[in-house]
Amino acid sequence: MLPEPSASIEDGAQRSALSEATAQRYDESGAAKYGINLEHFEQIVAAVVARYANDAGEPEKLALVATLRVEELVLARACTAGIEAAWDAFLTRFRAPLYEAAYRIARNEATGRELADGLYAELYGMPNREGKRVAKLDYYMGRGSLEGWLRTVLAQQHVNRFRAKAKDVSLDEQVEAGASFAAAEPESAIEGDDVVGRAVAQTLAEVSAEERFLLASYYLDQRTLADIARQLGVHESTISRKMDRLTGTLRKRIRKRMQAAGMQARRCDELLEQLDVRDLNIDVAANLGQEKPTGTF
Amino acid sequence: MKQSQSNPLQRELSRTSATGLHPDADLLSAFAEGTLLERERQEVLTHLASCADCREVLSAAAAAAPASFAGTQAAPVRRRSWLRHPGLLWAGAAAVVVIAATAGIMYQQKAGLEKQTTVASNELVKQPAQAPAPVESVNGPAQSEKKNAERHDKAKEAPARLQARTPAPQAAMRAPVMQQSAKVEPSEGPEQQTADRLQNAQAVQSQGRSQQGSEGQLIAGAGKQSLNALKSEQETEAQSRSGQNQAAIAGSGAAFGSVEPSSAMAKAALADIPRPHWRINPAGQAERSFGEGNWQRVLPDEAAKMRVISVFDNDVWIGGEESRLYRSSDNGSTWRAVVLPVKDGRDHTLVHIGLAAPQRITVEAADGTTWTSADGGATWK
Repeated sequence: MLPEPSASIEDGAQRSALSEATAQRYDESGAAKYGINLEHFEQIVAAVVARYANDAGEPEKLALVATLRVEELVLARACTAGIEAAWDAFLTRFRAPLYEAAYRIARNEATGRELADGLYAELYGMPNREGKRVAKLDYYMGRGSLEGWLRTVLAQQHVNRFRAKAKDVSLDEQVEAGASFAAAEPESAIEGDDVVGRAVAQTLAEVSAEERFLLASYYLDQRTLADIARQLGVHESTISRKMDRLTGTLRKRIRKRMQAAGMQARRCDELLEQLDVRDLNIDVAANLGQEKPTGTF
Repeated sequence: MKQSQSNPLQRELSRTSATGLHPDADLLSAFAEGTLLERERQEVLTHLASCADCREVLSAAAAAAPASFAGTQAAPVRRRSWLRHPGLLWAGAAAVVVIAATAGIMYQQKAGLEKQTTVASNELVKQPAQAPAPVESVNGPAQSEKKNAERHDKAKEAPARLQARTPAPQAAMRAPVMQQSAKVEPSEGPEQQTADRLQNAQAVQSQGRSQQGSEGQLIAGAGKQSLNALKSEQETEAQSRSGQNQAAIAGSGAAFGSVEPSSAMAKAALADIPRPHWRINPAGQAERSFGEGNWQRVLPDEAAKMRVISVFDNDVWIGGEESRLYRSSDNGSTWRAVVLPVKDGRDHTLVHIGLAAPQRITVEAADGTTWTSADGGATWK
């Protein structure tokens, strides 16, 4: 059975638009100086599109191609291909930022150097069992800057090391460090907890992903407003305004739900006072230890 | 220590565990840089809201970003002056020109008394240690005297200038380097400066190699990449060095770390990382480069035009229009705004930052207004 002619034409047109958008970015990528021709460049970009927007429509694919950091993507691919000029460029541009980032993440010179050295070796790649060299730089897809990607990989490795190290702490060391092993606190430590808990759960279910991220970062991880602002690339005052608005709205909604459940206004206020979680003693390391990585997108 | 579960809000927030797959490093870095598509951003946000691991990674990566200034540094208060009225601007500009000319003459006289060795782009400029020039500029002519005479005119016409001052003891320590650079055949204008910078950089590099051992050699190899841009004769040696680098990388996982890690070595390595070059581009934006002409803007949120950069070891000061003054104590990785006391009820254009000593700073405006601090910028007169 022959395929639908209209679908075939549309598919061809889409491929053409994508190819055209890719070709437009070829010159600015500087791929030619590493001996990467247009066809190879299209394959590189196509692999990125397939990874992140395989099921997306044409506009999204085109937008993805338009936002790719093609110059750094090509540099990474040229490095993994073993092109010496690419390694020279990479070392010149990214070695110092990589080590600086490692020192900042580790907050310790020796650990930072160890962290950066380890990543450096992985970036170049080590032979696997089949003798094929597997370079970490191959995983860079050009979605963000290469420097930002390096920082994120360093941060991932640092967190993984921290988690692994935390698991190695012996019981004796924990006791010496003052860790106690008291009985778990009762679930309902606050009077009227059922009503409050239901109201909180229903209210939190309504908030957006960004609002939930803000709440978790601020109350659960105990990040500062400046930290959160840095993560989102906005000014601290923006986060401050959002948090004020958000906490005010949450309080109103929770209070409304508690009253709807038959609680008196004065009692609502008393219980809400206990909801100020800024004085909670939360151990981020304990949180980290609770979650297991399940792969990547 | 286990976290308390006594609070319903905290308990509810921590109840939802991460769902689905973790975003890869590409998505997380693109999220932080705001380059994700909206659909992806929402997916990442949804995941982050319930995954403490990824929030931790994102936070650590963001904290390591050199441009942390943009997100965290409070912008200096913009003082709106009645002098900004359009009708008065022209009169004000004319007055500023007259005052600037007067101040220029006064400064020229004063500059002769200053004893400060100046280097360009953190590289030593060949100067006799006994008689350092008070001011040196990257893109100006070689003759210091001529530059001093045209100092204030240049501040207006060619804002891309750089002042890097080295205290006398350090200049004395670098005397052998200067002697070595003196072997270069003198040439004219910018070529002479380039040759001097090249020679000095080579001398510093060789000095670093002899002091740092094998680790220093590897690091110096990276610095040699930038020398290639200055002198093609170094290409062969640089390629050889690059080959050594890659051999070191390929040889073992301990690339760049074959030496026993110790605090002293780490400090030495930190000191050996190529120091940045500074400039102000024609648009009045301060930029930093670690070589190869890859200039990156610092203070990206600053709209006012910058006019002067002064460097004292790792201490970098940038000043400009609207009395804007910034300081970095870590070679430009992080910045903080310095607010000068208001003088004459208006903003000034800062054109000179004198760093005679780490704690003694003099800031001068185009109209001759000066501020001095004897405590490293904490208080100003």
